[in-house]
Amino acid sequence: MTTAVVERWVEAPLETFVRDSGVSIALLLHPSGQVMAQHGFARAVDVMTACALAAAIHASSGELGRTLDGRPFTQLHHAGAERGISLTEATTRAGRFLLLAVFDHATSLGIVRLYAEEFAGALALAAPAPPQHLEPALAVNFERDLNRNLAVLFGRA
Amino acid sequence: MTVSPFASALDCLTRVRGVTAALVADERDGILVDARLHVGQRGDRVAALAASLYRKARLSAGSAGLGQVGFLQLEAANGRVCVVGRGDLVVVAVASLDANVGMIRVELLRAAEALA
Amino acid sequence: MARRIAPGHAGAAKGIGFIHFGRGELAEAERVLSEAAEASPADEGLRSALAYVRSATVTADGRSAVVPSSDASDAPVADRPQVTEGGMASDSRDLFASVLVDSTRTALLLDRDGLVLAGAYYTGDGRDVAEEIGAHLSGVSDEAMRTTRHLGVGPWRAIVFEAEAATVAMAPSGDEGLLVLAAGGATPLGLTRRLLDRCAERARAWLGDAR
Repeated sequence: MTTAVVERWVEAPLETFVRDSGVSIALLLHPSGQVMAQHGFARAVDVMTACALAAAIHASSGELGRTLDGRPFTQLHHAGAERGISLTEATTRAGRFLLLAVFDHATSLGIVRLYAEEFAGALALAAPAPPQHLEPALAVNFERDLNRNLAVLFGRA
Repeated sequence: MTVSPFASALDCLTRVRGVTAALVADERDGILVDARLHVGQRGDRVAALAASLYRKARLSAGSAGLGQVGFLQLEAANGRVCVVGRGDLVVVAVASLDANVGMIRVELLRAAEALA
Repeated sequence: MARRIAPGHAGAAKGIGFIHFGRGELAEAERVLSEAAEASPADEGLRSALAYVRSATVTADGRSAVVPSSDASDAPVADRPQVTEGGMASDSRDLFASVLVDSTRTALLLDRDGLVLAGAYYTGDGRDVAEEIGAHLSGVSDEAMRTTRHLGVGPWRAIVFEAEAATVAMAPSGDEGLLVLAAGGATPLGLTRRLLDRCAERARAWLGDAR
């Protein structure tokens, strides 16, 4: 399995995370659901689905945290019978990102969380400075950007 | 305030000379259950790494036909990590190189009995 | 039933002995095989099976486990390691024999790929299972390296753990290699740790001579 990235600066931190943590699938995305990088997926439609669901889960759990605790929850773990998922945030000067990791008995939640924390640090170090003038994020551009990113990830760009 | 069921065992461990941290963790998840730590120590990291090491040793010994694992010690240049497992939990002690390992082992085995 | 019809039948005895062994009923297995071996003293298969059962122990979950051995006396003659007059092994399988002394202790030297460079690990019936044992245990050293790196306690020097069939000790050796020592249950933990150091010295000397 290989790691595919939309932007080069993400590649090294994500490859290190996948190698050290032993996760089977990893997905880096914007909180809006735009994919940045993936490891372990074979089909673009699976990446789109996972991104959409991860973004929605993060948004609703954030609201739940604000309601219960006055601040959003930033880490989430679901335990399945054979596999589990971990959803964590990584904040950089290039923006905030979500890391979705899927893992099985070959590793553990504690190890995944340890390396997710290291990944967040490495990503922050690797992130480029934001451009001086940012285009406004328009809904009309969302689908264009999503399709472009998926094409890059699956070698069709 | 509710006292953890592991409090007594962890207190006994930390009283052994040279022990710098004592904790109980879930062996499968590597999640911290209870701990006695100094300020600045990352119990969650110790829990994840020690549990993973113990689990690997246990599974490897089983595959090699050596049976179940009891006491485990990892010795490094500047310290040692000692672990005993019972069921889904592991009891971990982090100690200096000059610590009394025999005493640590006795207290860990005693603590593991209390987990049962 | 087969044994009531033909009480001395070696094949039936071996089969029933195997069933008892699989259930962890070592005493029963040994009794059945002993009786059959007395009735058929020339049967090499029965002798091997009996030796295998006698070298086993029963783990807490009721399975049979084989205590390590550096004793190759049940191995075919052509496979038995030879020792020179100076005490150093002419066969790398016997590299640690003079250090370990006791036949219930054994040591392996593995390379960075987990393959056996020296030492042996014999089962009761004389099979050298060093490659399998080395493959199973070598993964523990990767975990040790990761643990010490993240906890900031310096490079790892040794792991020792007590298992039901043996106490196992491991240490890094040479160029990313690994030294594995297994000592039968009667060997104290402290002695196992000291033997590990002595085996490490022997391995260093041998690797130096081999270059």
